[in-house]
Amino acid sequence: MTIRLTWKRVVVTLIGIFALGMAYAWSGLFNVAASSGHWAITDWFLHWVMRNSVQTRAAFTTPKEASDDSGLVSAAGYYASSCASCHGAPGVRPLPLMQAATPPAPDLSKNAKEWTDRQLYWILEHGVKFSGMPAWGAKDRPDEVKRMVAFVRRLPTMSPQEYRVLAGSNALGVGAANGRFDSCAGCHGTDGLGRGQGDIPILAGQNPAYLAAALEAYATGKRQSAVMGNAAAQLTAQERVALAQRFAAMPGIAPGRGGAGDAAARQIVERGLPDKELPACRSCHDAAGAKRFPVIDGQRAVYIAERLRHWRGEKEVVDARKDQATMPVIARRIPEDMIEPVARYLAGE
Amino acid sequence: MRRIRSSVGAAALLSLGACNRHQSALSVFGEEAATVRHLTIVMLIGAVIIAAGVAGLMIAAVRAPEGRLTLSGGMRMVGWLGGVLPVVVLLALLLYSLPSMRPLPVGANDLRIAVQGEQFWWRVRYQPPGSPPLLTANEIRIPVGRTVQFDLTAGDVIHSFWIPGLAGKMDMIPGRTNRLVVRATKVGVFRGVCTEFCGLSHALMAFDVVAMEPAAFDAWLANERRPAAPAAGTAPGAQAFAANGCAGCHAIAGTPAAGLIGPDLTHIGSRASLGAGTTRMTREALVRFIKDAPSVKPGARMPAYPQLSREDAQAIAAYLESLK
Repeated sequence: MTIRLTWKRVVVTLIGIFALGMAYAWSGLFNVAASSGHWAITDWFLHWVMRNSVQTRAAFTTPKEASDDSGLVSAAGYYASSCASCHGAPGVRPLPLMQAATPPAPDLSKNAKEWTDRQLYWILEHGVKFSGMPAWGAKDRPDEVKRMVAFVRRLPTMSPQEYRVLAGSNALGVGAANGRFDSCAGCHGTDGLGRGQGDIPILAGQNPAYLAAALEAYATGKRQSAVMGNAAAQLTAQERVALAQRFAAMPGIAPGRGGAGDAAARQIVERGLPDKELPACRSCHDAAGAKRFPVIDGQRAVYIAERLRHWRGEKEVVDARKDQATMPVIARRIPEDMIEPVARYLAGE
Repeated sequence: MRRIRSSVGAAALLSLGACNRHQSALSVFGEEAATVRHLTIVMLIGAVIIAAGVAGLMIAAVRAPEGRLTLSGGMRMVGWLGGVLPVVVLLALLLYSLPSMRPLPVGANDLRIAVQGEQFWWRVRYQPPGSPPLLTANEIRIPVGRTVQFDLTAGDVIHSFWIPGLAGKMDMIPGRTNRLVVRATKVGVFRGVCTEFCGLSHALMAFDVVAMEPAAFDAWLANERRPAAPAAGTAPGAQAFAANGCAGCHAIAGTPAAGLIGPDLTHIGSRASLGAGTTRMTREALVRFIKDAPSVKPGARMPAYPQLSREDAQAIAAYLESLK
C-alpha cells in the first residue's frame, strides 16, 4: 500500500506532532531534575552545540589579544570569591552543592586547556546559557576579562601555594568577619598599598569620602567593575564608610608626592593646556589635598593611565553620545601620547 | 481652501516672532543698522513699483487684440524695458548704495572691544584707549554716541557676530581678525546672536547688548574693573568654588581663580542671562548649569559634575549670584 503525500496530509501530520509535543510538555512527564543528569546522547549534543557556538563566536567577536597577565592578583581574588565555589581551585575542591548541578561546572585545572584564549574570553564575557555560567558582571571592562583569561590559563599548572599567594586572604574564604576587611586586603593588601600590582589602586592615604563614594558607585553599578561590584554589593552603607576610613588612615599616597621629570607632563599637571581647553590636573587634585577630589599623587601609573584611557571611551562613538561627566571630558582633552607621561609624573615613577 | 487659509495664518503667526525690540534689524539702535534699514525700505518700495509695472504690462499684453504689436515694435520694447531700463535702475541703485558700504571712520582714541567666539560663548575684552584691557564674557555694553570698533575672531570654529539692531553681521574666523565699527544711537537692552552654525548649541549662543549713556558706561567700566564682592573668599560658596576646582577654567578677579579656559565670572551676577543668553540668571538655573551644563547646552565644553553635592552646587550658585 502506498500513501500519497499531499499538502493537506503533511500539514495535518506536522500539526499533530506539534500538538503531541505540547501535550507532553503540558503533562509534566518530562523530568527537569538536576539529580537525574542527562542521557549520554543529550549530554553529547548539548556540549557539541555549545562548543560550536563558542568556537564560531569567539573567532569573530573577541579581541585579538584576549589575555593580559599583568594583573593576576585581582583576577585570583575575584576567582577565589566568585568562581572557586563551582570550579574549584588549586588545593580547593568545588562546593559539593555546586557539583550537584546539571551540568556540574567543569574542573578548570583540566578543562582550561581545551580552550584558546579567545574562546575563554568569550565564555567569561558572555557566560553560557542553560549551564549556570553567568556573563561577566560588568559592562565595558574587557581589561578585567583579559586578566581573568590569563589567570584561568595558568590554573592547570598552578600549585596550591602559588594560588594562595596570588589570591591572598580571599583564598581562605574569609570576609564576613573583620568588617570584610580581609576580602579587601586580599587584593589591596593589609597595608592598602595594592600588593605592588599596577592595576590595583593604592587605597592607603586616599580621601575617605572619595573611597566611600567609589564603593557606593560600584555597588550601584554607576561605576562598572565585576570585581569591585561583587565586593561592594555585599557591604552595608556603614561598612563601606568604615572600610573607606580604615584604608584612608593608612600611610600611603599623599598630596604633593608626585612630580618628577618630563617637562611636557609637568605642563599638563601643573598648568594644563589652555589652547586645548585642558585645565591643570592640579586645579582639582591639588598638591595640598584641600579639595574634594581623590589623591592621585603617588598612585600607580598603570592604574592612572588605564583609568584615563577608559574615560576617553571608544573613538568611534559620536561626540554627542560620549560621556559628559567631568573626567571623561577632561581625559579626552589630554593628548593621547601624553597619557603615559602624565601618569608616570603623577605616580612619581 | 480652509486648510490653505489656516496654514497661511500659522505662517503669519510664526513671522510674529520677528516682532520684538531686542533682536530685530527693524528695531534699530545704531547707525550701521539704520543705513541698512533705509536701504531695505528704498529697495522694497522700488521692488513694489517694478513688480506693479510688470503686472500691468502682463495684463495689457493678455488683453491686447491680436496684431497690436509688430515684431519690430515688440523687439524695441524688449530692448528698452528688458535691457536699458534694468541697467539704468541697477546702476542707480549701485551708485546710491555704495556710500553706505563705507565703514564708519574710527580713530586711535575710540573704544575697541575684542570679541572671540567660542563653543558656545563669547570672550569679551574691552580695550579703552590709554587703560589696560578688561576681560569679561557673554555681555557687551557700549556707550551711545561714541564710535566703537569690534575686533572679531574665533577660538575654535567659525562663528558669526550679529547684533541685528546695531549693524550687519560679520564672520568670526579662527586666526583672523575682522573689524566692525559701530555707533549706537539709542539707550536700551538688545540682543546679539551667532549666525554661523558652529556646533550642537549654536542656537543657544547669544548675548545681551546694553547701550548706555556715555557717563553711565564709564561708571560701569570703572566698577567692572573692581573685584565684584567684598565677601569674595570668605563666603561658603567661595570655598566650595575653590574646593571643587572651578578655578581650573574660570577666573574671578580679586580671588586666586584665574583660569582662562571658560568665561570670566568676575561680575556674572550682574548679567541678565546665563550660559550666553541661554536662560535667565536665577539661582535654580545656576545650580542646574553648574551640576550639568551639557544638559542645558548640548555640546557645551564644560563637563557635568555628577559628583558635586547639592549643597556645594547651591552654595556656589549663591556666591556667583552675589558677584555683581
